[in-house]
Amino acid sequence: MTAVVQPRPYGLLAEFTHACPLHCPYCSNPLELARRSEELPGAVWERVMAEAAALGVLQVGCSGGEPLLYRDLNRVIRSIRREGMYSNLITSGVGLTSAKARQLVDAGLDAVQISFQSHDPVQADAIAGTRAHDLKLDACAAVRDAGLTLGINVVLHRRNISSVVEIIRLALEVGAMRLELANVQFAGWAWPNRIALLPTRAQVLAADSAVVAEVARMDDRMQVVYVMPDLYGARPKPCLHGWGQRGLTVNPRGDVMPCQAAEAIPGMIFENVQTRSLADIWHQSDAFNRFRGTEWMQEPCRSCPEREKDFGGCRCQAALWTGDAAATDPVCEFSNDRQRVDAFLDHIERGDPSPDWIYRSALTSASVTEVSSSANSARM
Amino acid sequence: MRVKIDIPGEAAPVLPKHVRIQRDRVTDGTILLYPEGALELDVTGVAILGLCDGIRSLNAIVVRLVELFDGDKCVVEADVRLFLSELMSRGLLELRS
Repeated sequence: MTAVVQPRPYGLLAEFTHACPLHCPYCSNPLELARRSEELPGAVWERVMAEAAALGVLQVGCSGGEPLLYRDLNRVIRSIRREGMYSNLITSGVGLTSAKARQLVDAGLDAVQISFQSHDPVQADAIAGTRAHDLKLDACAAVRDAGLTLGINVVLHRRNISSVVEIIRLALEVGAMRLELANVQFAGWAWPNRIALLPTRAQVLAADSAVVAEVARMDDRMQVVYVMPDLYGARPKPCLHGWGQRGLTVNPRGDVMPCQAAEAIPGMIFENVQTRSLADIWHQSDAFNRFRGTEWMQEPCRSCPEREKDFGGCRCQAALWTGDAAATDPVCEFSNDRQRVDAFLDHIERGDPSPDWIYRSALTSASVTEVSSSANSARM
Repeated sequence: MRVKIDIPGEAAPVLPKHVRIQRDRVTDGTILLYPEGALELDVTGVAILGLCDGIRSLNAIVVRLVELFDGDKCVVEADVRLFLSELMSRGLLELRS
């Protein structure tokens, strides 16, 4: 008998709630949000954490929505520490007072990552669709005072990417040890807003060189991670390092997904932690095995020498652009659907320079359709 | 890694609060956990970090490792410096004086 090397999940993204005080137009949560009443009780999350640690998970991202709105957060963080995993709170910062930060430290939280929308308070609040920027600055101070390490993440898009240098300086000012600058990905709520969100090619080129120059001037105080916008590249990103290879996401209802955006793929059925064990779902479920390895691939991926490097790119992106989740990522220059991406990029260059976007709302999908058809009236 | 960091011999290295040493339940090895990442440590790495208490100087750590492993001082010192400067460049090590 030959031993088969089983993939191991190193990271778990725990989405405790979809509730959030922000209304960012690029929200990565699915169009259909989980209701507060559907959220898992703390006891179930404690079991999930024990099962995750046994599977080999080392890192837990405590996310949402806004995880601070989840009632049993402290209890679950204690269980993450008890299981020997590393916990990182991924938060808007809204509600992160000094008292709250101290409670989280007592529970065993290891690190905090706060999102910023811009360096400029007015622009930041206009992007978030609510007044939050000053609260985020207060939250950074609370995190530092509690002795926790601070990371900052900023989603870059058409309206803030030209300020990337100022954004890096803000992160230094607030005492961040790590800054994640991620160009917007078109999953969830970002997909219907893609025309308003994607930067122009000139903006992207300018930002790329500005980031490189700014990082070269800095000392080792802060690590900067810069995620390029893949639509302007010729090859797809090695999404997730392969489907079902390194990480998993559990949503507020307890559905287990290979990727936080996987609900965008039509016809996927996700197993739930309330009815099956995490190990069983990871190893056996149809959702996790569907795009594992290379057997599922079609041409041109199937015979491509790059297939073990980029894994065919992003399944959600393939589904959104081509309607077929098993297709080659349309970003790839060898994809039969690349012209769809090129037509979109062409529209970005020649269309309305500042189109409106629709703010994220907690509406159900039925009302979303109604709002989408009247974009201007929904603008804040 | 951007710049090779030269650690003074009198400085006392220590892991910052946000970096944790943990046993890996799957491999039974030793790993270093930090925000958004993990490093697998080999036996040498574990031995070096075991001596990084923020009190012992880099020089004293080298002397202790030479005793423990009966190694050549120049080789041990080069190893320790390479390992610790790599951690520093990732923000995973602090120096006390």
